[in-house]
Amino acid sequence: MNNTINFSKSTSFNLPKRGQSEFRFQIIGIGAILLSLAFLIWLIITVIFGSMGAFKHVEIAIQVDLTSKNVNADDVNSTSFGSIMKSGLREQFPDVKKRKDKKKLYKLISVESSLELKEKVLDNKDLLGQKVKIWVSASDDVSLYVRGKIDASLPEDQRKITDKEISWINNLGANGQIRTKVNWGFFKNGDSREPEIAGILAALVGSTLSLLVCFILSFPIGVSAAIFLEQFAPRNRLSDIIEVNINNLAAVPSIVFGLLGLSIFLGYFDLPRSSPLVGGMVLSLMTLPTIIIASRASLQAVPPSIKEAALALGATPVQAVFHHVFPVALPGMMTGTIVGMARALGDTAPLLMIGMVAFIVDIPKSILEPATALPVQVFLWADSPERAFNEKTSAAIIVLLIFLIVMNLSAVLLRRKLEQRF
Amino acid sequence: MIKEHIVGKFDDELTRIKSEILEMGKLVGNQIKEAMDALLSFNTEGVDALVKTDRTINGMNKKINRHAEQLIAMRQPMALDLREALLATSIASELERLGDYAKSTAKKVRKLSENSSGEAALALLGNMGEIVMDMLRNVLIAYEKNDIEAAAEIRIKDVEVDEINKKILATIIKSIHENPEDTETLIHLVLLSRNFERAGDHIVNISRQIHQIVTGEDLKASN
Amino acid sequence: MEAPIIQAKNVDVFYGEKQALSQVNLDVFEKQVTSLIGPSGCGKSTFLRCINRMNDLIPICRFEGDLEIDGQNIYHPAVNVVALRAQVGMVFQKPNPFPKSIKENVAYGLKIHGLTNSKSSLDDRIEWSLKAAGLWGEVSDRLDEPGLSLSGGQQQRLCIARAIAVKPRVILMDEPCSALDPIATAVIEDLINEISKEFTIIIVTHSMAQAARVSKRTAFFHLGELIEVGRTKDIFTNPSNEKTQNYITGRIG
Repeated sequence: MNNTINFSKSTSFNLPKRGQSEFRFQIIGIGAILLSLAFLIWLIITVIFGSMGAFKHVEIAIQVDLTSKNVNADDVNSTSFGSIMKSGLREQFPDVKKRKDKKKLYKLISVESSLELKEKVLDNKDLLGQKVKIWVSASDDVSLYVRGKIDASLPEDQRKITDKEISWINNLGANGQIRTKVNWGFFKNGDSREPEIAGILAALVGSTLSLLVCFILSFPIGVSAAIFLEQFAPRNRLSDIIEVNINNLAAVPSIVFGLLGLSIFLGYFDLPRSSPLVGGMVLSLMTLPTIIIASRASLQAVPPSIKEAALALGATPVQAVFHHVFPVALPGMMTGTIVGMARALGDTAPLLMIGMVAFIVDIPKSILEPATALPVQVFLWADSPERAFNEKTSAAIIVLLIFLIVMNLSAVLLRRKLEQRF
Repeated sequence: MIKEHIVGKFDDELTRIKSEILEMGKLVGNQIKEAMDALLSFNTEGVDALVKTDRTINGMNKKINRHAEQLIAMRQPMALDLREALLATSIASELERLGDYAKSTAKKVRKLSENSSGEAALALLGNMGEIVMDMLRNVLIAYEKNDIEAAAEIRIKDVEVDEINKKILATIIKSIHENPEDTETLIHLVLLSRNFERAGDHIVNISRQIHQIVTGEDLKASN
Repeated sequence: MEAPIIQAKNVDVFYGEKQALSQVNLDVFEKQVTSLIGPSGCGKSTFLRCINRMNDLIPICRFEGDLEIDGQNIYHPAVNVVALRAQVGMVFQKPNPFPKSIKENVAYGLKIHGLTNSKSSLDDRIEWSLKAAGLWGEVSDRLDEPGLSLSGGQQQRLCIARAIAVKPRVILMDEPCSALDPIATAVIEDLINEISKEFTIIIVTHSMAQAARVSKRTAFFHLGELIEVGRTKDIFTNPSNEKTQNYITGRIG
C-alpha cells in the first residue's frame, strides 16, 4: 500500500467525467448569458438607429410678405397666414403653373407651418410690414428625403416623392433654404396628425401624473397591508386565504384591472374619462399585489431578533415595528414599489380600457384632464400609416426606456441611502 | 452504579490513574511484606533490593501526580471526578510514605541483634505487620470498588494496631528494666513499632479519602 | 435568609400539546446571579422567557401556575406586559443591537418609557449605562457611530447597557456569551459580576464552567423539570441528585 497521494493523477476519483460535466454546465450558462445580451444589444441598437431621425427637424426658409397688403397689424388673428406662405412659395418657383403642381408645391412645407408663422409674428410684432425670410417646418416626406430616407434611384411610382418635388427640394437646397436642426419640438409638443411636429410631452406628462397617483395610492396602502399581515394579523384560515388571493392577484392580467376601473371608477364613481387620476388608480390596483408581496418579503428578511430586543425593552408591538422593523425593511419596500411601478409604466392594456388611448394634443395640466401615456403613445404611433411615425415610435420607446432607467436608478440610489446593515 | 462519561477518553484517563494507584499499592504491600520477612528472620540480604524498589515507588508517585494534573487541566473534571483526580494525588503520597516505612523497617534489620530480650516484642511486631498488610490489601480493594463501608471497617481495624503498639511499648519498657544491655535493640524495636502504628494511620487516611471521593464529605474536617 | 424577589410556584408551560415545563418551583434572590443549566430542550430558556412574558409572543404557548415578582403574580390579567418588561430586562443569545447609533441604542428604552425629561439627563443616563456596561471607555468618542460597527463582545455589552439603562429590577440573560470568543466572554462575565451588585440577574448558560464562575445559585433543569437548585458551590462539587451529578460530570444522563 502506497501512502503518498498523487494529487495530479486525473483519472482517479472519476475526475474526467466530473470535469466534463462542470465544463458543459459553464458553457451552457455562458451561452445563455451571451444570447440574452445579444438580443438586448440588438434591441437597443435597432431602437436607437430607428429613432435618430425623430430627433432631427428639417426646416425650409420662405420669403414671406408681411406688409400691410397681407396683414392687418391690428387684427393679426384674422390673417390667412396659409395664403401668405403659399404666395411666398409661388414667388420662389414662378414657373409652376398647373393647379396639381401647385398643390404639390404647397405640400413641401408642413400643414402646420401657417401656425408656426402666426406664432412667430405674434412673438415678434416687428416683423410686420416687412418682407422677411422665415424658417418653417418641412413636410414629413421632404424631411425624410432630405435625411436620405427616401431612395431617389427608385422608379418614380414606387416612392412617395415625385421627380418634380425632388428638383424643387434640390433647388431650395442649393439656395441654402433647407436646414436640419435638433428637434426640440419632440420634447415640447403634444401629439399631432403631422409627424413632423408630433411630440412626446403630453404622453410623458400623462405617464408621470398617472404614476404619481399610482404611487400616492399604492405605496401607503400596500405597505400598511403588508405590515399588518406580516406583523400583526393572527395566523389563521382567513389570513391564509388573504395571502393566497394576494398572490393570485399579482398574476391577474392587467386588462382585467382595466375592466374593473372602467366599471367602478368610470361607471360608478363617474370620474373623468381618460384622466391620469383614473389611470393612476387602475395602475395602483395592478401594482398593489406586487407591492404587498415585495414588502412582506422585505419585512420577513428583517431579523426577528431586532423586534424581540425592542419588545424585551418594553416597547409596544406597534412601537417595535415602526421604530425598528419598518426602517430596516423600507429600502426593500421601496425597491418592490418601484419595480411594481415600472411594470405599471409599461402597461397599456388597463389604460386602453379607461380611455387613455385618446388623441391628446394639449399637454395635461392636472390629473383630471384627458391624457395619454407613453406606452399608449408608442402604440398609437406604431399604428399610424405615415412613414415618419416609425421614427417617432422608436424615439418614444427610447423615452420610455430612459424613464424606466431613471426610476430603477432612483430605486438603487434610495436603497443605498436608506439601507442599514444588520 | 456510576455511569460512563460521554467522552470515552475521560474514563480511560481516570481508570489509568486508578490502576496506577492500585499497582503502586500492590508494590508497597509487597515491600512491607519483604521488610517484615527480613525483620523476623534477621536476614539483611534483600535490603538493598528493597531500597531500590522504594525509588520506583517514589517515581510512581510522581507519575500519578503528573497524570492527575494533566487530567484536571485537559478535562476540567467536576464534582466526583474532580475529587477522584485530586485525592488520587493524596492517596499516592500516602502510599509513598508507607513505602518509606517499609524501607526504614528493612534498614533497621541491620541494627538489630539476634537472641536479645526483644523476642516477645518482635512477635507482637510480626502480628502488627500482618494486620497492617491486611488493612492495606482491604483499603486497595475498597478504593478499587469505591466501597465506603469496607473503608469504614479499616478505620475500626486500626484500633487493634494502636492497641498492639501500646502493648509493645509496655513490653519493651519492662525488658529494658530487666536487660539494660539490650537497650539499643529494644529502642529500635520501639521505633519500628511506631513505624507500623504510623503506617496504620496512613492507611486510615486513605480510607477517609475513599470516603471523601464517594460522598464529598471530609471526615477529618467533621471530626 | 431574605425573602426571594421571584417565586415560581407549580409552573407548567405547554407548547400546544407538548409540556415544556412541569411543576417548577424556584426562588430567585435579589441582587445576586442565578444560573439555569441543563441539556438542550430542558426548559431552562422557556422558564427564563416566562419571567418577562416573552413567551406570550408564541401563540401556542400556554402558562399555568404562579410566577410572582415582589409578591405579584405577573400572569394576573391586570398586569401590563409593557410595565413588566420595563422592570425585567433581557439580553439575548446573539448580540442584537438596533441598526442605529450607539447612543440611540441605549436611549431607546429611556425614550419610550419617558424616563428622562431633559437632554442632559438623557446623556447622563446614557453615560452611566455605558460605564456600568464597561463600554464607555471604548465608545465615548464615537457615540454616533452605528452599534453594529462594534465587535461582537462590544455589541453584547451595548445590549447589556441598553437593558440596564431603564434600571430594571431583574435582568434575564439567555446564553449571552454563546456567540463570543473566550476573552469577550471573560469580559462579560466580569461585567455580570459587577452589575449583580445592583441588579438581580438570571442567566441561562450551556457552559457549566460559566455558571460556576458567575453565579451564586444554580438551578439544574432536565426534561422540563427542575431537578435541583442550590448554592453553586454545592451543585458543582457535591450535587445531591444523581441526574445533576451525571450532567455536570459529563456522563450520559
